[in-house]
Amino acid sequence: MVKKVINDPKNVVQETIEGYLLMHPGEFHLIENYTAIVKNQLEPNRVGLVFGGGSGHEPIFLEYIGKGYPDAIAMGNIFAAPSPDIVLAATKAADRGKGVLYVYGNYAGDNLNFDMGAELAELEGIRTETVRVWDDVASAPPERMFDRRGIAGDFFVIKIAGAACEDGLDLDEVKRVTTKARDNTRTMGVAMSPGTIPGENTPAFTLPDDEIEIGMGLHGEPGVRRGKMKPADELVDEMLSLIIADLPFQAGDEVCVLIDGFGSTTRMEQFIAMRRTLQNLEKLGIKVHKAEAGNYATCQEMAGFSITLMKLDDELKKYYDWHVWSSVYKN
Amino acid sequence: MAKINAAQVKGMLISVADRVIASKEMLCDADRNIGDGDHGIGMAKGFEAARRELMARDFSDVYTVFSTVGRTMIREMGGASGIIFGLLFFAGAKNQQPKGEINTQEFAEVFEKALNEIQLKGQAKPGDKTIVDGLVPMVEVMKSCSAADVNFKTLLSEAVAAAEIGKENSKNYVARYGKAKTLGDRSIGFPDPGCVSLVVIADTMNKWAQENM
Repeated sequence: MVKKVINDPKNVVQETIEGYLLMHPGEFHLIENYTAIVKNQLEPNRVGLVFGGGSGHEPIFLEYIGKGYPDAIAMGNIFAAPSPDIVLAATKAADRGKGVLYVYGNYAGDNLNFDMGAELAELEGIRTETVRVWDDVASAPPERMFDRRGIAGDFFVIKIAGAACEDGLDLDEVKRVTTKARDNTRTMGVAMSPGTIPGENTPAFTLPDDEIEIGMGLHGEPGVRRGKMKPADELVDEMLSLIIADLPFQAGDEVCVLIDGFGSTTRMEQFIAMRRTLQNLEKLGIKVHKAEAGNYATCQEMAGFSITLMKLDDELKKYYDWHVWSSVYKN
Repeated sequence: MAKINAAQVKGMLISVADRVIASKEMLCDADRNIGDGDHGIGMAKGFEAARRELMARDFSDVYTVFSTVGRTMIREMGGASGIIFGLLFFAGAKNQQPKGEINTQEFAEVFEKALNEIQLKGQAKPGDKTIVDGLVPMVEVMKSCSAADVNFKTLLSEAVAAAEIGKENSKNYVARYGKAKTLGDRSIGFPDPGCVSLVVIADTMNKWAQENM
């Protein structure tokens, strides 16, 4: 049995949410009977923003709520999308009569459940729009972009969406800006060892001790290549070259950079990966506006990291620099 | 034509719930091979809730029994399997005129409508390595059995055999749907976990019919 700080495995999602809410009294509350939370204070006349997905990836999705961040978060069971009823509850809580934007990672379960949630919301007279995040370069070729998974790129896309909502844009405009952020974001990950669902005895996938998988997804989905462990610089070189070629990013572009740890990759390792990433970008003539390193989208005790770039224009830069507060990011 | 009433369908689906809950680890293992290993957890959670709803009251309408199970699973499970297995019981039963009992043809139609709705919502085709691969032959044989006016024991034993063949065939397919799709050729050799669950469900419905009808 993998040792984890849990009680009854059946209660992990509920108890995770309770702990987070107790840490932030007066800011967010539980939507009764659902694994969904909403801000206590909702500014009037704003588009509602709902973000969500499976549990077990904290801080995403639970902590991506706050000022300039989503209004409500819909949480599913471990690694499973929230049900349509949870999505609907979050939608009703977030709606101020201006409609609601859904942002979530592009997975079959999320697509099915959010779409059905949108159908239920429509029956209640709430207009919704959707932006699915599909930043994982490893998961499908560019011509099948809509088959790509959403991973750490959520960090950038949701930040832009939150700021655009707070700026008072209408639903169509918020969707336009958020889509632009999504379309300019690319991620590539590498996995070294798996995570385990709380209460399960077997890891979600297996990797031999000396092997890694370039492009592996946050649930152990296969990537582009399995191979022997290599020095950090060589990993970064391979991952970054795949990202750069995909958009493509070019000399003169301005980008934001994210190094995301998957759960058990240390901050020390994150900085070592960041070092090479920023050195390479400078050589390529790509200007870095802001760089972040941390555990922003994880998979339990999975080891590995991803590199994400988002190409900026003036509008995206303005929203990226927006004055925001959440427990994952303050600016 | 042979008929099944609301109380019988309730009994049948309670036994399905018990069996799925007991199969949790086996279903997680099936998912670990080509997915993220949580399939059994979701299925058990959904059927635990559905079982509570079924036990809580008596039913006079067969379709309400099916729709109660399906809607509860959609509400409680989440994930792709919440919608897909919820629709398996919900899609063919929603918006139906209440009936105290249904015949084999109407029983087959519940699953035929489910198949259509699952394909419509999920956009999965036969051969994509999804539940559709088990459900297509199962529905096919249920329709031909009901047309031949067999009893429920025969209908369901044929149905489980067809679902089993579909599950076995799914081993040969490359996954084109869900988290398994990036496995490519590595998904060959493993059955689709949704088909594995479908066989558990069909097999339990059949066993219940052999013992109780």
